[in-house]
Amino acid sequence: MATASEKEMNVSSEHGFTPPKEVIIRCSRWTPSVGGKPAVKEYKVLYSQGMTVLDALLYAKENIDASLSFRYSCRMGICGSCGMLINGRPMLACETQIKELPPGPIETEPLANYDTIRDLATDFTDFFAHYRFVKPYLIRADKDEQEKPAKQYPQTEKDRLKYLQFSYCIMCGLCDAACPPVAMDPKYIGPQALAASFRWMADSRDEGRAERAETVDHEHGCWQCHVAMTCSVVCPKGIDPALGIQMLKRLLILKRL
Amino acid sequence: MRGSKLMLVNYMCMVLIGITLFLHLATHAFLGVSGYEASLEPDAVKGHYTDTATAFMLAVLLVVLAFHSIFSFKTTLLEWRHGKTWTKAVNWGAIVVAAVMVAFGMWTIVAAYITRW
Amino acid sequence: MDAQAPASASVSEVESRKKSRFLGWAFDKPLHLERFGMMLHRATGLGLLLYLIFHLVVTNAILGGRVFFADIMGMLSNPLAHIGEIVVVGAVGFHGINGIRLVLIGLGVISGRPHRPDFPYKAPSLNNAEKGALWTAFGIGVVSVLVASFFILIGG
Repeated sequence: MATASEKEMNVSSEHGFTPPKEVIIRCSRWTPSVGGKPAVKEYKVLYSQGMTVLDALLYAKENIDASLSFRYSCRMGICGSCGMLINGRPMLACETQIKELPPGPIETEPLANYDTIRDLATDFTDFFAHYRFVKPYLIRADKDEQEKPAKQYPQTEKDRLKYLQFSYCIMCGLCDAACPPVAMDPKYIGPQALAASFRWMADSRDEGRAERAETVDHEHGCWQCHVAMTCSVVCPKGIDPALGIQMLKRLLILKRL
Repeated sequence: MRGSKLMLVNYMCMVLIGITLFLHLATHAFLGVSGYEASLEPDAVKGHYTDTATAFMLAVLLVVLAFHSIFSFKTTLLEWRHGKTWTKAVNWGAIVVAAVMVAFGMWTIVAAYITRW
Repeated sequence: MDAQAPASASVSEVESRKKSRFLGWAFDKPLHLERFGMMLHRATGLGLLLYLIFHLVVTNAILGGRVFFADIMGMLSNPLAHIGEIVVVGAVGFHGINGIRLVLIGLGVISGRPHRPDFPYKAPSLNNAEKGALWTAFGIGVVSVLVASFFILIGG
């Protein structure tokens, strides 16, 4: 039976988890446009059952420091807005339960490999530019017919499964944040865009494979992937960008043979 | 040259390296010699160059290793620094260095093949 | 915010303001098996390139005659050089087998197949075949060191 204090805090000590009364969340604070250097600020947040890192940040923003800046939207792991480094690892803040993290202060930083706009919000300009560059849309040989299609483009379930998982990408950017070649080469297209490119190349309704191949078949394209596979380790939706990139490489090599 | 074309050449070089490098290491361990020290005797080493098959294998190993190593190193250099001038310098430098490696190594192989002590 | 780059722009025109990190990423999390394998593959590759250049120069000594070559080999016949040679053979073993693994992954042989992702979202590319190949590469590296130690230090 829950004690009075446990009821007040809306926590329970079942399953061997002893809930902390409060958690410390350490946030990187910096506004590059103003100048200075990144600094870390600590916030003591009252813990409640099922609290996520995003909940903790919102508590800090609403009750302690309104100037704390971060992105969020859906709070349910579908919009991809709240990506950040949590204890050094790229994660979605809304999907990261505090009780799943090791005990101790929680470190939050802006995503690596992106320029910081402010605090935990990063600049996705290059990310979206790389995505647009790979032509992430249906390309048909007959453009007029595509604009005014006479009928559906049929596709079997088997054909759909060839690209389905890559279409579930929520563009959170965690894969690009985790990728070593993205860290080294600013022109590298990145795992998200490459997986998107394969999504369209593998689509049986698409007729733009040759056009798309030009956008990825170069030294800053899929060949810059050195198979670290960290993108697939951190992806929160099971997209497996590493698989998409290897499938892309296979397509391009087999085209040569 | 397209990335996929270069990578296909790289893949073929890797396969050839696997075969020729294994044979090269074997000739210094147990193939045709009785031990590592014996394989480093001047006459034993010279024998590798004067034997046509071994000399040809060494020449193939040299060429494919030069391509694979310089191609891969070029990628690393282009990740280290960026910009049009650097990219051009690295691309041309890679060709020159690979050519020098192959030329120098071939000189050793051919000269050792032809000359007699 | 600047205007977005047009979709038809070449990759070189996508201006990037990001600073690149050549080595700093090595300390990023998560550090897992495949990422460590990639770092080791790169380190052994660079080491082997340096050794290759050294090896080409040393073997050229054969053109200097029997005595000159014997002198050079005598200089390199010391414990430190032998250990270096053993390390090189180990690096060759790991780099070679991992290279085969990377080719097999790149050709889609052991990279897994696309599927319908369902929670808890196990990535097909992080499968037992590629992990097994990576452990094999580590193992071959160790075995190469042992075999090289036998032939170089003890004598075949």
